[in-house]
Amino acid sequence: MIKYLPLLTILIPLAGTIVVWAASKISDELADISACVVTAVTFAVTIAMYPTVASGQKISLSIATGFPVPFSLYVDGLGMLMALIASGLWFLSSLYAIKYMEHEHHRMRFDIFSLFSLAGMMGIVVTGNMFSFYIFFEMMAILSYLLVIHEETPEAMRAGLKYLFMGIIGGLTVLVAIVATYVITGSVDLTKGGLAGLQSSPLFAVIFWSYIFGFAVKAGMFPVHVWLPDAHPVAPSPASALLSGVMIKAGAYAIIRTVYAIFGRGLVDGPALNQTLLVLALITMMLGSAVAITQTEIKRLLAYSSIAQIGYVILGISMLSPKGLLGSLYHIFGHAMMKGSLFLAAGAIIHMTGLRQIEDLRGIGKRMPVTMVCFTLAAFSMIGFPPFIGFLSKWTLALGALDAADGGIFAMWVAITIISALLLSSLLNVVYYGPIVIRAWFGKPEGEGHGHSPSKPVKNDDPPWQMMLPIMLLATGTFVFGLFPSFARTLAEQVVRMYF
Amino acid sequence: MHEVQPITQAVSSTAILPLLVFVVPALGAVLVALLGEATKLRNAMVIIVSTVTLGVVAAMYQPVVWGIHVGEKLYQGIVFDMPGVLGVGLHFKIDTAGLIIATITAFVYLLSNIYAMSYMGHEHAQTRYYVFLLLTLAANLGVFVSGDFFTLFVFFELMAIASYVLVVHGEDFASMTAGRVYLFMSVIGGLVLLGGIVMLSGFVGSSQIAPMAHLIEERVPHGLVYVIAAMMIAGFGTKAGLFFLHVWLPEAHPVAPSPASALLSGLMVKVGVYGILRTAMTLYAAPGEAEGWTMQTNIGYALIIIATVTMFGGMVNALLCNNAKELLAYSTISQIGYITLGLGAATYLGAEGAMGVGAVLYHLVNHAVFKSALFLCIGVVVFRVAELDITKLGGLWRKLPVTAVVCGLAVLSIIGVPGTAGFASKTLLHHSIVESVEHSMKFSATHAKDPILVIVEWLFLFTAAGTFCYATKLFVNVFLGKMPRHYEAVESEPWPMRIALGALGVLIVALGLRPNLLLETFVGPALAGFHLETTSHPYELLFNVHTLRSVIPILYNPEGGGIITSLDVIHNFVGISLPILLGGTYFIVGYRFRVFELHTPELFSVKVWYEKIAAVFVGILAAAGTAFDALWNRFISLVLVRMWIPRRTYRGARPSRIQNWAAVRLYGLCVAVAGANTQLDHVVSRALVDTWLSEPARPVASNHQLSLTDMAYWIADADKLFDKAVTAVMVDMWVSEPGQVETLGTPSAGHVGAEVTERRERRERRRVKGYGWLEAANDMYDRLVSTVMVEAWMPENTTVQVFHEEEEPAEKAETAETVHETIGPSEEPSAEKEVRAPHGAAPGKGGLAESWQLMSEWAKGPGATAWRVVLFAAGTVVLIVSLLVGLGYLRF
Repeated sequence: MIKYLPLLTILIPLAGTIVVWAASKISDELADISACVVTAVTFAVTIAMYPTVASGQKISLSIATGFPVPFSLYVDGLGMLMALIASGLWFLSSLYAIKYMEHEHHRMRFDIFSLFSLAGMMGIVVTGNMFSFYIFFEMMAILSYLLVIHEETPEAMRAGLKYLFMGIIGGLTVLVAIVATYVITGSVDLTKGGLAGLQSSPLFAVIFWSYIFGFAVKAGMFPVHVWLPDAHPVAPSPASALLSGVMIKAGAYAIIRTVYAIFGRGLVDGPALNQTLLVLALITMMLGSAVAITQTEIKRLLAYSSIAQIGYVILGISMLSPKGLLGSLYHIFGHAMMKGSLFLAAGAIIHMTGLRQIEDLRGIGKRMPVTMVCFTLAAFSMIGFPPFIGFLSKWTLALGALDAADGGIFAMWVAITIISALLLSSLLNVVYYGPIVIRAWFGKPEGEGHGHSPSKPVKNDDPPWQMMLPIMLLATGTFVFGLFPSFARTLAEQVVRMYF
Repeated sequence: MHEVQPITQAVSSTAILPLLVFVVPALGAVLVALLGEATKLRNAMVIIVSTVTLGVVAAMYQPVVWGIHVGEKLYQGIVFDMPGVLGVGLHFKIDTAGLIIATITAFVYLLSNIYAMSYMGHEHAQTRYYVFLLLTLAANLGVFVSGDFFTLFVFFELMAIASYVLVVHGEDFASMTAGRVYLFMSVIGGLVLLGGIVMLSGFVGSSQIAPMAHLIEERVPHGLVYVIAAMMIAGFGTKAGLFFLHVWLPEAHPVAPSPASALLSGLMVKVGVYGILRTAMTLYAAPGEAEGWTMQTNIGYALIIIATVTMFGGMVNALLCNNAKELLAYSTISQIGYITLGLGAATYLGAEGAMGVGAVLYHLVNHAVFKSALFLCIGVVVFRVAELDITKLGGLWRKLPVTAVVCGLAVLSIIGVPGTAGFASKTLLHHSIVESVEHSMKFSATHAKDPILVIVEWLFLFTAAGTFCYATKLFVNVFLGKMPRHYEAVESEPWPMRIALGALGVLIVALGLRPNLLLETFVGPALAGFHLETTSHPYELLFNVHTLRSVIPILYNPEGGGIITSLDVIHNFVGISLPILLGGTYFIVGYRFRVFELHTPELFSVKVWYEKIAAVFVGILAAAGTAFDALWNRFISLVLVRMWIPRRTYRGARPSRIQNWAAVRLYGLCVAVAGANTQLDHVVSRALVDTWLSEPARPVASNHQLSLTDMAYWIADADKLFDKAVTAVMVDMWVSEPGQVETLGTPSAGHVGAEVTERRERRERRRVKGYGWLEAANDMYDRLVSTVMVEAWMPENTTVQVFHEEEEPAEKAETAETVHETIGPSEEPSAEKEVRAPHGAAPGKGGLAESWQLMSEWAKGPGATAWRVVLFAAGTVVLIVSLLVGLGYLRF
């Protein structure tokens, strides 16, 4: 029975689209609710897999075994971690969407394509070979286009085109790489620690970069991150949270699989592969933060912050050290919660007050106290203050850099540079999150002078509970899982053991 | 000292105390937040929580300092582990040194809270103040119970964040600005510290607060040994306010509400000192190593120099201040310099640094007491007369007697007048410097005193003189002299303030009267935790307490004999009298000539330079990053996205100049390629097709304005043609029903029906114009093959007919309005007809004979017949050869 659960995680959202369609014939509200229920069921099914995977077993199932490459499902620690993040955040964001999308048009379309994207995302993380993976990868890339352009404004359409085209071009390079891998090695399994035969191929560097190019587009890594700051802010906030919190992680996930499962870390170790990747990751990290400083619109700032954070993740992957990978996984897990919370909170502010410019958020903390407490907590986590999970991942990444230098992956000065970059990046995080938080709590709204104002009652603009609950859960998660990370740690350490 | 096991959870339940120390105030903060608007209850809760916290800290005294007996064994100190928390695990450990600071911290917080009951009474956001104050207390105490630097860092950062709220409490421009400086310097300091701790844990494998010098030497790469020390000291030093890292302190301490200032200045800076103490004296200590252990000696030497600059610089700045709170803030910097100087001396001496450590712990407590007393006193003044400029104050002792008395005591203590606690600790500090000077002779090859350390000793005395000067200046200006007339109506202090101030005053006096009390109960036992050489001279000297006991009795203790017997004692008196005399001179001179009203130019302000550097750095990074990102974004969008999208779809994009530039060139390139393609098309058509048709050359479509979209249409058309060809060869040829084959021809108007859009028409036109020849060739080939392979074997009039259908020219509705400027001249229709003419020429006849006839007709057409035949043959040969080559290539 347990081995069919991965299949269910894909089929339930797919089947759910029909439910949503039927429900939308009655009312849009019902469609939203049913979408939320479907995601909840998916989440529940995913959780049902947790005990098995956490105990060290792997769930695998092959369908259509007659083909040269069967359609295979396979859940190990990494897949489990990703599946939990994806289905969990999807559920919370669907719950949030019930109220957020209240006054929106085309709610049924949004719900259905959200579920399609979920099916794609779940498919990505529970498949066991690259061909099966690819189907879902493209499915998610293309169907989530509808989430990006939901508003149908000119800038949404423009951002959507960017998203679509870059996604497709990335997908094609991945396809080329998959075919090449299959031709050379006769296998595209993701279940091993490196496919035999690749190293004898003179083309392996080309194949590696084809993979990385495609996945980097999805992940939003420099130099192909350009779609991200356009696409994430224009989407409706629940979708932004998913795009930034989960979907870019699909790229990071795939890069982990490429580096550790397809190529194996022995093969990737070299200046042309992991060291170049490392440099790109560092650039991504610094660039994202540097650009975020100059942003004036809150969601766009968050999008640039996502670029910086994905830099951390890829940095950890390219270190090829156990702690580096562990830090990456922590950060994937943590960033989903922090960025989810931040985007949802920003969405709540936009929804309730219509304010988007950071300049206008002065004193918003008094109007929306709970929302801003959550935002503040998540921002602290993003900055990397202890005891939030963001601190944990940065700490682990820094140790990973030293480990890697110790293991001869790169020189000691590189490790020191990485640590300095991590610290500097934290500082930049303060530089751009600090003003938002400080303005929100201590700033005076326009029209009010400085100095002490008698405490007059302020209208509470906190959103309804359907929106508040996801934000609160995610923000709480950032420090609960920071303090007690064993939930994610069990899975993450399993992954590390598998590849090292 | 023998190895005494610490108390763990298995031994006694008191092991939970280090946890309670920060859990109690943290939970208290939650309670206070919940009580919120119920002011009285909330205030009571604040006092209760602070009292309970002090109680918890006090409860640790017995197990930590003297130890407890379980069975036969003596356990001392407390250890508590929380494995797995925060991924790494938190470790708590408390020994006497930590407990001293924790005790004084909890005590002063309690007094500050009592004081705040009246001070904060009229402030806004009181609940916020108390909540964050208790959180700060929790974090502050957490630092002292941490067992490793990782745990310490956690609390260190939490304290920085929580206390930020206290600093910006006023929410006005000044406090927000100061808060920003505080926040950023704290964060930067914290990050530097984190860098050091990360490297420490990475290389050594643990960040335990324990002597690890040997491990560090062994495992840390050579160049990084001092880097780690420097990073940690810089990180802690930022919090402590060491020079060059102090700029936040004179900004932040004055703007906070006075009870918070007292805590910031009196206690929170101590967290930094405590961290440096643990780094220099514990982490880098090498028990069992002889004196002159190089690592510590070097670190200590550096610390001494930094500390001297801090001490002296803080004093000079304080002299030039007329804002009372700012003066006190600079005084804090100077006093931290004193403490760090003792610490540097202790580190310099390594295992023999007992005197220094004792002095540090002693002065730390003293400073906490008198500096918070001073801030609270000034707070009373602010509370009653709302004036901080000391030149505008005066004679307030009449209105605020308790404040004046306590302030006077604190001033005496900060000066170090004999009979006060300050005298004891300053004497110890002075001793430790003297010892460093003496030891420097041992370290040097020539047995000469280190000149720098000699200068340091002199500067110590000068600073003491300056301290006298600024402290007197503060006291005289505020409490003595003539009182401005408008202060007549000022009321005296409210009771909560009196209680708090009174308690501090009593403590100052008590510590001064019984200087050995602190030494014996706290400082002495604390030394056991520092791996010092118990047999060394300083250690004995300190425990001999001869130094103190023999000085103080002269004034009030008959037990001591009343006569100065020791040279040390004379030294001590000289040590303090000289500064006092000197300071008095300074003061009078300074007062007369208004030196105190001078201001240092902005150029010398470190803060201004920091701000410039930070602004430039962040500015350049952000601006360069953004500019680069924007350019890159455009470039990638152009290459990966826009190039593939017809321009009109991308409507709304406002292309920048650079984009236009790129676009123009790129489109130019495309047009050139397309043009070349057209030319090639003509050449090839002429050579391979037109020559066979014996018709006038087809009109040449010139000046095509091309876009990529057009190219895409072409590809689509080519595909369609290919489709048609393949269908014809593989499907239609074998099917004889006319109905099915009909689609082969160019779709007629009727067939396409309503689907015909303008775009379709354009495309169709273009197709016909560009590819008519190909179609014709296809038809010819088709006919040839049909004739040879099908019709020749079949009865007549069965299949050939199908090709007549396509002759309907209706679809070519070549109306004037569709004549596009990009399309060629209007001869097109006729050309098309002509192209197709040969097909219609042979209706109704099938069979081999007819085909032959057809071929003969072509061959016999007007023009050079032989030439045509040759070309035809050559074409066939080329075709066959290329087929063979192609096949061969495929095979091998």
